[in-house]
Amino acid sequence: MERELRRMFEIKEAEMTVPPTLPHELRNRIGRQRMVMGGLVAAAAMALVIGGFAGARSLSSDDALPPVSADSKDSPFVDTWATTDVDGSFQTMVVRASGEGAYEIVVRDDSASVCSGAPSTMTGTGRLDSAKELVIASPVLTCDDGSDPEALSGPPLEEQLRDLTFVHDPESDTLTDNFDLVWERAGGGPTVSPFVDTWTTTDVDGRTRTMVIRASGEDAYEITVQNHLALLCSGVPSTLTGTGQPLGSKLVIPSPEITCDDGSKPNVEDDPLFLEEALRSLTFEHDPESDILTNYSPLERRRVAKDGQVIYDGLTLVWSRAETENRIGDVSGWITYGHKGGIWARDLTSPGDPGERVLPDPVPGSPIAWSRDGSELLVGGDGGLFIVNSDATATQVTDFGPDDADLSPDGATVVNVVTRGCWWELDQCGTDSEKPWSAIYMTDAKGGSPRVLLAAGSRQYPQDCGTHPCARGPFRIALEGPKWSPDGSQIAYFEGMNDWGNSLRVMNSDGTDSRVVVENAETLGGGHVEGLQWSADGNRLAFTIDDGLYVVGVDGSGFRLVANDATRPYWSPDGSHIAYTRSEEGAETLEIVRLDDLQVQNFGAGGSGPWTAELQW
Amino acid sequence: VHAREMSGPQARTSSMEELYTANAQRAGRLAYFLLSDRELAQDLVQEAFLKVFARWGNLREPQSFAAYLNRTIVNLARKAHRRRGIERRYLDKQSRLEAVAPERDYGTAEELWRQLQLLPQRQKTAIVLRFYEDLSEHQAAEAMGCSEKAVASLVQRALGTLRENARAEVS
Repeated sequence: MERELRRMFEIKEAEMTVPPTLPHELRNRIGRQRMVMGGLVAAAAMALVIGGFAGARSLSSDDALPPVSADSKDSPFVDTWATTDVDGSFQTMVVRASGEGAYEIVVRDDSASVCSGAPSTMTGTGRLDSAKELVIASPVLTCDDGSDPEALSGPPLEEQLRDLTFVHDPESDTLTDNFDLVWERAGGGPTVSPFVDTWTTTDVDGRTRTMVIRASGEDAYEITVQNHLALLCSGVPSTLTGTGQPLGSKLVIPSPEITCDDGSKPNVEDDPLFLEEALRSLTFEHDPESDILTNYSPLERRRVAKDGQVIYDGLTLVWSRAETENRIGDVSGWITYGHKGGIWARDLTSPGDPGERVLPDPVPGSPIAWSRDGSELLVGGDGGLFIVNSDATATQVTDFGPDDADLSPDGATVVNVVTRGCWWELDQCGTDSEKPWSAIYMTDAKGGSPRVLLAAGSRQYPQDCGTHPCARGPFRIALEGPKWSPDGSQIAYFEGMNDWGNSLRVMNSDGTDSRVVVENAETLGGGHVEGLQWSADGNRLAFTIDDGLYVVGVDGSGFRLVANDATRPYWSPDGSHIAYTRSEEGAETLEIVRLDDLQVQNFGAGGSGPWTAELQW
Repeated sequence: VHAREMSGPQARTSSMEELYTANAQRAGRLAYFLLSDRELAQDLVQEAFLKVFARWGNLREPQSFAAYLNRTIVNLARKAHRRRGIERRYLDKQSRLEAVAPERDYGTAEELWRQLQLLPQRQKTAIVLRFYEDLSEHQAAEAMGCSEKAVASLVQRALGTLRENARAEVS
């Protein structure tokens, strides 16, 4: 394979050529760079060569120049600065005024060659040599790992660092030191840290891993990474925690710790030092352009070699802000749904968490709606509609099923639809009792006889029905899905025409003044309409047509599609979101769409159900 | 001091020409093999020379210009790679390629080239440094900013994948 690779490279070499001599453009760029630096090199050389004289000069400059206020925020030097070395190592410098014209600097390097690659810290105090030059007479550099810093070549480090000079260029607002490093303002301060947020990355098995970074005091950050499938914990979830400090665009956690959520110890083949070593200086780098974090995770994958040796493979993880796909900030409350014979509730501030069983006993159906105070739940099943209390006691309201039934907001009245008869072979329907019949009934919740609120009429369809029986005469229409408005004054329902269109209508709760909200093939088409729900303020309606989720104003305005593959919609209490069940390849998940920007958030396995702000159960 | 400053830049400029001529083609190909995009590689090489020249006076071991350049190119390529989100797209691409069961004809350099592009960036970098640049594990480790062990492991895995795919093709 090696030979083949070499041959391939030989062949592919021909595909890439660069100009054989130093291109003009590059020469010019180098020239520009050198011009800037030429002056600085000269200044630095002065500082270095004149050496001991610098102090005296500094004093005399102070005399000549207007005094610089010691704690003046206006000094161009006082700030946090950052630079990148050619080898990619990152350095930050904090310059503070320390009184009486003196300045204090703290320079941190995340990988100092003089410390064999370990991070270093350099401190020193100095004075302004002129308004534009800050000279630090004897900076002291220490290696963070405790080793002694050592110059790789030339005079001792101490000597090389003597009279470290920073020159401020007002035009570019940068500092240049006598090693030709150009420092830019790191800006920010603790309030605009790019790190503090919830981040997610996609795990090797396609699931989401979440990391929370919090500020924990001045310049310190706390991280928590939850890993649902930790190899080090034999597959049980693990939590990594640690605190660290930012170094420019990097956040370095010197010694993070991993704990297995089941209390077991992380398994690293009886070598705890190995784990410590592998995790040391866990570094997250922020890329401002794409606003992502990356980190190299050395223990991401594990395999056993033929000789039985365990080998860990690393992987670069790319983290993006959770809000882009997992925004939780503005969703709260509880969704209740029926599952495994009980009633389950999900805390919407914790996406991904499984639901909590709030009613363990077998309940007679699935949740339909909450009473306003959140203390009672209307459920429906094959046996009828029931009102369930938080102590799991249930009162049967009707023996009608949950399909096409609703309880009035005051709990006193039930509306439901009864549809019967043969619909499709009209000319073959025999007796009157077989003729299609659909009506909305109203029943006292305490019992009593149902009375007809609205009986479906018949209609001649304008379209060509082909050979369908509808072509032979007026077609009976079916009524579907009556729902009380939140104030109980109105009832919304569908007039179903099956393949030939549907209309959404609203009538007064006494059955009068039925009017169209939206109708016909253009809008509702011939699809299957379901899941009608009023928003809490009574101004809008949501429903699904063939798994498309639509919203429309009660006055017919603003009809629009807000989500796909959605069934069983439920409004958020404040009307800003709609929860629904998403079905994909047989798996159901709970999703919530935010209506102002149609951003969708998936909450994982489960389903939608009535949404309440307060769960008093 | 003054005289030294005058002679310095000139000496540097002429050696820059030499250094460029001596290293440019190799650097360009390294960048191309890492990015598999000629235009990006051109830009990256310019950037790399600029960066190394800018710091040239402060480099501790002038004789190892090539090593500095390598390291800079590897770093810049890594950044470019990350910025472009190639890693994610590569994963998409890879799953698609696997799904359609590609022909694996190692008889042609093209196919091996294509397989190389499918390797994770670090594995690919290690392969290019070891078998195109002919760097030792030690030198490759320096260029990649990792341990020699890591380079060995990256190369092992990359070769393993390539061999496995070749075997799949044969059978």
